[in-house]
Amino acid sequence: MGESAPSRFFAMVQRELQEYKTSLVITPIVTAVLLTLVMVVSVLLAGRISAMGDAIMQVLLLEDSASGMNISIQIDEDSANGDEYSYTIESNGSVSEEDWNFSREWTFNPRTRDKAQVEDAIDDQVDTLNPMLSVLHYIMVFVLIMVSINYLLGTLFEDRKDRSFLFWRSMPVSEWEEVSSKLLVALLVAPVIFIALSMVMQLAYVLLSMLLVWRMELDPGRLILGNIEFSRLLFDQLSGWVLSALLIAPFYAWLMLASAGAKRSPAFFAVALPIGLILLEEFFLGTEMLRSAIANHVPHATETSSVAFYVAGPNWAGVNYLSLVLGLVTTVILLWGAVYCRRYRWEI
Amino acid sequence: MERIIEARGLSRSFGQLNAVDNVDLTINSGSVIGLIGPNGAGKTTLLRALLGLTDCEGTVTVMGRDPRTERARLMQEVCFMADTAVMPRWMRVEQALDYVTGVHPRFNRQQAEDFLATTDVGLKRKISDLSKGMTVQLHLALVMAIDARLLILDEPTLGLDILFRKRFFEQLLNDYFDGERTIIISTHQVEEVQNILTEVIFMDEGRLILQQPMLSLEDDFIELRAVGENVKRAEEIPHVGKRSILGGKAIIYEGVGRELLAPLGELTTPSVSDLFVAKVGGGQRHG
Repeated sequence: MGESAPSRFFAMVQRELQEYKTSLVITPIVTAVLLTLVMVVSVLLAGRISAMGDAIMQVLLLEDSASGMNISIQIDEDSANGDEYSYTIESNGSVSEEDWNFSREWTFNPRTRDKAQVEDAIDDQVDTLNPMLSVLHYIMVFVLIMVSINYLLGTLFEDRKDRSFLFWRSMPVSEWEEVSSKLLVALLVAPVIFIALSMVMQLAYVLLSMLLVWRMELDPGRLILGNIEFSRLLFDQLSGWVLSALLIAPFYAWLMLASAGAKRSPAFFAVALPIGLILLEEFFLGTEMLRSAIANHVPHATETSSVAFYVAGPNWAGVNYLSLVLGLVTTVILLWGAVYCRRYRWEI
Repeated sequence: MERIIEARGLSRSFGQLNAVDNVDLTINSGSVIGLIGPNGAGKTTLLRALLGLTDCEGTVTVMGRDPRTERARLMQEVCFMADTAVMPRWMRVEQALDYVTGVHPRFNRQQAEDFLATTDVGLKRKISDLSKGMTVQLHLALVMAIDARLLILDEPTLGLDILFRKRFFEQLLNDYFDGERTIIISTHQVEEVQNILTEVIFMDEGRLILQQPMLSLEDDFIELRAVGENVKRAEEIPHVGKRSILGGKAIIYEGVGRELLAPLGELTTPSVSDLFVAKVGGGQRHG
């Protein structure tokens, strides 16, 4: 029996995950699997190159500062008296095709450096691998926000459209419980799923990199693990989402209001009304307050940075706290609007 | 008997349309009430007002609570079942059971599963794969496993065939109604519910035009089957409605003595459906 609040909350969240299984569960898994496959393929390709000779990788990685490759060609051709022949390749001379003897075995032996030298060089070049791992996280969070927008636009609209609203209303669940649980799914539950998968994926990436380095007979512990700050990475990604969630909350609440209030298209309602209000403000008042307020809370990219989108880590010092607080107040007001629509204006 | 529902001056308008127009309503516990009215009479709006699903004017209390402000608490003791289309189609049967188990403190899951075991509704089945009849059985299983004091049914058998309709009402009466619970049924199929009703409410154009215990219908209403020359004399007596029968008219009277009508033809108690047609029949009304 669902008497306790955690039990009720669990049932409500479980319902959301079941109803939006494709968006909230399958999509992040598929995204993570696809990205992991891309990584695996990359490693396999890299491994193939590695199989041709670790030295190639070393050359590719290290020799940019060297004077050039030293290519020597060993020709296994025995002379009758056991003497060694000497061959010279001239760059300018034209050699007729008939003079080339491809039946000889050509080997490629670049100048080698000792293992410690290679590892030192890599270590010097690689400051930290965290930014590389954050790229994977960026992709997951981008997909998360897309999925959340889709979820929020549908979650208070679809049940009104298919009339299952009346079934949900027949349960002893208040409108506030319902609306807040859905917001919590978007701000907390879905991000937990996506971020957890992102971390698993990053771990897979680390393991694959270690495998690649190991095949090159280098030290994966030093070169890979030694260049990843795991605690920092974890803290940055989690706290980055916390700040993002606080900033994005009014945007999500607006989407919920659009979902709860729209008669036909929540997406159109969610986009058209703000644009209309922005244009009216700019036309009649000549100000851009609304545009600026929205820009502070909707993740978007500018020419130089992304806004309200602290994926790789929060920048608490750079936060406009007045805007943050006003955003949270707006969130409550918008949620109240969604609850009102849910209670009295739900018929389509 | 406990007063379950009390409404005074209940009104709900949609623009110029008064869907519910100044309704006064009192319903006591332990009754099965039929809410009967033509399409657009305001039945659904009235039921939704009682459930806190729509805003309204006037005062209304259901089991002592205002449904407009205490709907969630109220729904612990009230069950509501609309037509077959309201069950979420994406769900599986067991997921529906999980959800109700999670949020409803008075839900007995075992009871619901026992009920479903007597039907063709498997727990793993998706609701969208169930027939209308099976969907209603699932909804009924959920409702009957909730220990509620008031059950409100809004056209629960709409679109079902006659076999499912009969089974539904049989199960409702035999397995659910215990003499203390209250059931309100809004339906068009008057003939199918009239035998289980203890009280009937007629509604038309947002107003209640009749609220009466079934037992008192016999005392207050008489149907006279007059033929031949008696028809004209019977029609001169104030009546609520009439219809043609073979060779004459069946005329329904309210509050007219049997001794006055007996010489004019055969007297019977009108069926609920005939009474309903007579009361809302518009042009047929007289007196």
